[in-house]
Amino acid sequence: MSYNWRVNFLLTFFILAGILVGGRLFYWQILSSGSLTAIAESQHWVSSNVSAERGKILASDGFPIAANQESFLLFASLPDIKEDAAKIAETLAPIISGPDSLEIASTSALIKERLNQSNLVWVPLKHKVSRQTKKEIEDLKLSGIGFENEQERSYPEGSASAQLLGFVGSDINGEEKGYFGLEGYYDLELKGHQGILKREKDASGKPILIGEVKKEQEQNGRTLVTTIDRTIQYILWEKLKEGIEHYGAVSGSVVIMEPKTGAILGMVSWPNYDPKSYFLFDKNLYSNPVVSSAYEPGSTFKILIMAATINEGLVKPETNCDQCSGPRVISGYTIKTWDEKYFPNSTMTEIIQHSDNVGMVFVGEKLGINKMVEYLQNYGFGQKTGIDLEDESSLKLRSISDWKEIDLATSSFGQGIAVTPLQMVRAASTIANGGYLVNPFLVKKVISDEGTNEIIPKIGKQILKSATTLAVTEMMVNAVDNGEAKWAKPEGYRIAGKTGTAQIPVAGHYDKDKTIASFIGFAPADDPKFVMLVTLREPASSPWGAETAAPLWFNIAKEIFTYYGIQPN
Amino acid sequence: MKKPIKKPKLLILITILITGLSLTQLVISHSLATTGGKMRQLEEKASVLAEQNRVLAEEINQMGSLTRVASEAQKLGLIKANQIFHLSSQVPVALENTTLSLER
Repeated sequence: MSYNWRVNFLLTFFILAGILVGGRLFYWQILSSGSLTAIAESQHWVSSNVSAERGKILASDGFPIAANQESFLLFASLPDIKEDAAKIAETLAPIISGPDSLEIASTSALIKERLNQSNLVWVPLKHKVSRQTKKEIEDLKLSGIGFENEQERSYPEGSASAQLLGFVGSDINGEEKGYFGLEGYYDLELKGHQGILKREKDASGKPILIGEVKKEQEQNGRTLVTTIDRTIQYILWEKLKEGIEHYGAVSGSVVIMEPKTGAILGMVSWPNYDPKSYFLFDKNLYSNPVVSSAYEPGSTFKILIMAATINEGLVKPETNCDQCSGPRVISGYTIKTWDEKYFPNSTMTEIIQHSDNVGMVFVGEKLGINKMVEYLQNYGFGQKTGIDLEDESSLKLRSISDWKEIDLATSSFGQGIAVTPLQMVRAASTIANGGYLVNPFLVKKVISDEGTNEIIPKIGKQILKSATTLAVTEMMVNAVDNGEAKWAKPEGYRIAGKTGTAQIPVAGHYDKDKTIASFIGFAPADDPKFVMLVTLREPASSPWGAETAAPLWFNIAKEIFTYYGIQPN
Repeated sequence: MKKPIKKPKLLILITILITGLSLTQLVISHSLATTGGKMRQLEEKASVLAEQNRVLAEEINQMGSLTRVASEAQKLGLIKANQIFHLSSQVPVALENTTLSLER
């Protein structure tokens, strides 16, 4: 009896002990495996993050227009702090903040608060500290204050290409993220992936030579080679600043493109911002007006409507206008010429030369609403150009059923229709390149560790006959040689161009005093190397494109002729 | 008469082997310990060189910027050419029927 009791007791004891051991093993192996593995890893491995370098953005000559610059994270290791937190805060604040006393006081309070956090051992104090500031702080020999390497975006050409490039800020997790322009559009390609290096360590923390090494390879961001010509970009920037100051304009932009490929050679806008300290500027300046701001193109639009009408065989350059002897009344609205001068029986060439609104109503009526809408769509209006910039936008064209007689009339001379400067340049390039619609682009090569990926320009369909483009080019050359802006034209060059002066719609009506002056053209007319659009908003010296935007266009063109080595005829 | 005790050869061999291997292990451990330190030094040197490389690249970017080049040129008194003469590829009329001969 007593034997059985002892056996049963031992059996129960061993079963319970087995359950306890099994339970404990389950706890260690299953429930706590994650934390124990982490502890074992930290005792066994020394690991470090290998940060990926953000890809550069290069001009067409290979010089960086967006690169990386080393900066530092200032941190405090709280157990190593020996001096008083308030004293450290007062010492560091004037070095790491601006000269403003309020800013110094707030920075000092922030540092003090962080240094007094008893539940932490490591606290960041300031990101993006420069090398010079780092040295200044190191010279103070404050124990527990240290630095970690970081990277900062740098823009060697300053703000000249701000809206084109965009900037690098932070996302909601504090990770770097590109916004606007190329930085925004190509953010995924540029940022790359961070790597991790793990190596077995000995008791003193030194890596073991024959120990195991685990490496998760970092992947640096890809480098973008753009079509931007650094010299042209600099010329545009300098000339636009001068022009805006000279003509007293509120803002302005210049865009220049290769008409045969769609490669953007330069694109600048004013006012702009410093992409390195973007947070100090008005947010409205971030988007690129060349691709995001719609405007009424005014008379520069006439060349497109004229080209469409000639292309349809409805008029010829020598066709006479039989309704050009005076103002026209359409749907109760009176349409006049800009200078109230009328030229009865003027030819189509003369209509472009005089920038005759009444003559263009005649042309528009010949074309008709259906063909007008068809050609506007063919020119790419009402849709994005597809350029590789994050901030591109486009207004939709109204549907055919919404077009009225007055819309046809006003659109024929570029009012009552809104386009972006880039859409306008793209449409005008069809006249310069024999009738093909090109797709504007900025990045021509993407370089990564795997190799180089070349981006081949996409040439769209032919929307104008070659003969049409030659005829309209001659009309534009005549407009430059004999039109209102002939006084500013560089001697000896054949330039095809057209001025534009559009009134700005304000609260449902056009403001007579506020205009957008523009000039669009290409040169040399017989073998165009570039097509360029200059727009100036509300110029104070004169509201007319012929007296503001056109001379600025010619000034820029002269510099480009010299740069390209294009000789006068 | 007692028989002389023979030293077991195997025992001696084992002792020598153990001593030899222990010494070898000591030397290797010592060498590895110092190599680990050396490796860290080399890594630090590589990181300093990489940093110097970055600093120099940054300097090149700053110095090569067109904005800076233009401002330096202005400081040196260089001005933009206002008059540009284009040389024609055509032979000037005065030279058209002229033959040049070289005399010794």
